[in-house]
Amino acid sequence: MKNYTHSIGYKSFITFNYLLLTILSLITVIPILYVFSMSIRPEIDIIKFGQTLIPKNISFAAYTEIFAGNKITDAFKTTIFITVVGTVIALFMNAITAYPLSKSHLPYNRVFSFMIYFTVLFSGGLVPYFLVIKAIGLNNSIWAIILGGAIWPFNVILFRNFFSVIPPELEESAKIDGASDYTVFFRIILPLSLPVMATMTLFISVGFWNEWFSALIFLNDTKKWPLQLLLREILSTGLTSQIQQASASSQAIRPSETLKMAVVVVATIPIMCVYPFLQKYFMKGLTMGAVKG
Amino acid sequence: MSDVSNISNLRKRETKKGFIYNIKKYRQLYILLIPGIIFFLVFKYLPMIGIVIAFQEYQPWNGVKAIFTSPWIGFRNFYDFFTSGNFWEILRNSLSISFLKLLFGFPAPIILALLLNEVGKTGFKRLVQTITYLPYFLSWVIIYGILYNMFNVSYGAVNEIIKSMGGEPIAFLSEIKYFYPMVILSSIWQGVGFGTIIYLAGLTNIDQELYEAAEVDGCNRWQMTIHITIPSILPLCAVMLILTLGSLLTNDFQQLLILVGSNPITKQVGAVFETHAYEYGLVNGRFSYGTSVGLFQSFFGMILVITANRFARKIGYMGLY
Repeated sequence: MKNYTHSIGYKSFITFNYLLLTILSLITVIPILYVFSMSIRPEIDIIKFGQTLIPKNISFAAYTEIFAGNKITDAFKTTIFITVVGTVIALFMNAITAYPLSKSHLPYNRVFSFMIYFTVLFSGGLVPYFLVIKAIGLNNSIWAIILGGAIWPFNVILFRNFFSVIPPELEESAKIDGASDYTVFFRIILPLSLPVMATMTLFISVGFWNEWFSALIFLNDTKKWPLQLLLREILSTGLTSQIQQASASSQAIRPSETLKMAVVVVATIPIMCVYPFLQKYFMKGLTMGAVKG
Repeated sequence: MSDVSNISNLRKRETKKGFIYNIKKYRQLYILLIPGIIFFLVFKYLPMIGIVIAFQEYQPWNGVKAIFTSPWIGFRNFYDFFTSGNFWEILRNSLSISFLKLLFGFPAPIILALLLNEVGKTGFKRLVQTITYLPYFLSWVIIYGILYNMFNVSYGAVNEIIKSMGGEPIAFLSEIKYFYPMVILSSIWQGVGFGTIIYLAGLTNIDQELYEAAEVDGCNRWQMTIHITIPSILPLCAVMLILTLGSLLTNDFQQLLILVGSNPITKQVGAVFETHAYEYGLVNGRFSYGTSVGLFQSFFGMILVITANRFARKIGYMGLY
């Protein structure tokens, strides 16, 4: 009955495992570090030294250029607005939709549930969605983005599962004391839902922060563009001018390479800051959803 | 078990009591539902009705009324799509990308979960998890920015390394033969952390006593992995595999839209149904045609998903002890 943990084979596997996992973590982190390092160097260093992980000289010129003009700060403000307002509305909408559905004895519960989950299976498609938004007058408005992302069936399921495991005695005793359904929901259920709320907040706010495609198809006015869409524009002009490669005048027009990376950093920083704190809720919430689902 | 039947009986009894009675009794709950219902009707079901324009020659300058006034042309949009020469290219691209993602992207989170499971110290494990989950929260615009910085021809980090070793820089982002590797690898980079959570959850559900009994019997870790760990998560893997197969016709079109960009070379291998519907339907303004492309993909995608789900349920039940 030799304990396997002392064998050479096992020990070398453990070492190999740690090594491999470390390498994988590095592969994840290093490209991000490259981007950051690219953004804090002077532009000419690219031609002089090429790209190195550690910059030879440090310069924040790209960042001063970003915040000097209006375009990027405007886009930043737009994105913050969309994210904050969108998340609050979405949290509220997802929760109030999920709560009645968590009551299995509610008549027509199955009908409503089916109506919601069917949309995961089949959708009208991009063009009809665009035409509907246009028809209700939300074309060229950021509310098309905010309202369009108000409810995701996945979030409704997560909330609903959470609500359904709250002990019914809490509601029963509240109702005996004369509480209405509203009181039960807002004063008892919601305060108990803070862990789910934290997970949801992370999911939803990241979703809104990263949203660029809705903005692309609905916002004609470039002043209303969120950060991600502006970033895409900045990055793709770089690529097209690389393909063209010819005209010398393009030097003056296209954004510098360090500027591009600086915008990437600016677009990523909020997520990076929020992520470590909410990450444990995210994992707990997903495990909960995964086991249930 | 009797709780479930009690509840459904309760619901049936309640429903029988009459529509008006129920609306009154559960009034507050239904009111809570109203905003959600409106949302789904407007944002999801109204577009579904709009699908009808795929069968018309939709003339948009009349606004919504145009649905009633545009001429009916039946399946001609679909016929145009099939005979356009684009269809087979798109189908090939769509299936190739999905298949390659399945081949390389599906095992990745499983393997990572198995490796993470073997790490005893929770500090290191949590650190690795935190790091590998991060890319999931990055948009494809940002990921493209990272890819651009790493792989572009002039000064990309990878090309710098190639140049320093004496080689010629490679245009990773604009050559056809590197496009699929870029798509697959970036897809894995972004998503492996997310998938790992699900498999790790499955792994922690395995009864520890099985491992203890095996250790008493003198098994080493490798034997334990083969005889306990893998058979225990096989049902979960099978279910996930079948569900992934269900979305064979669906591709991550945001990723492809960004990675292809406006490059006509990579578009040959990167154009899929959704990007085609976007380009012809919205950009070129051919609303009816774009709707028909989208409808084709949603419809057959739905058939696939339903079939896959039925299959997965059968396997799931067979696999649960």
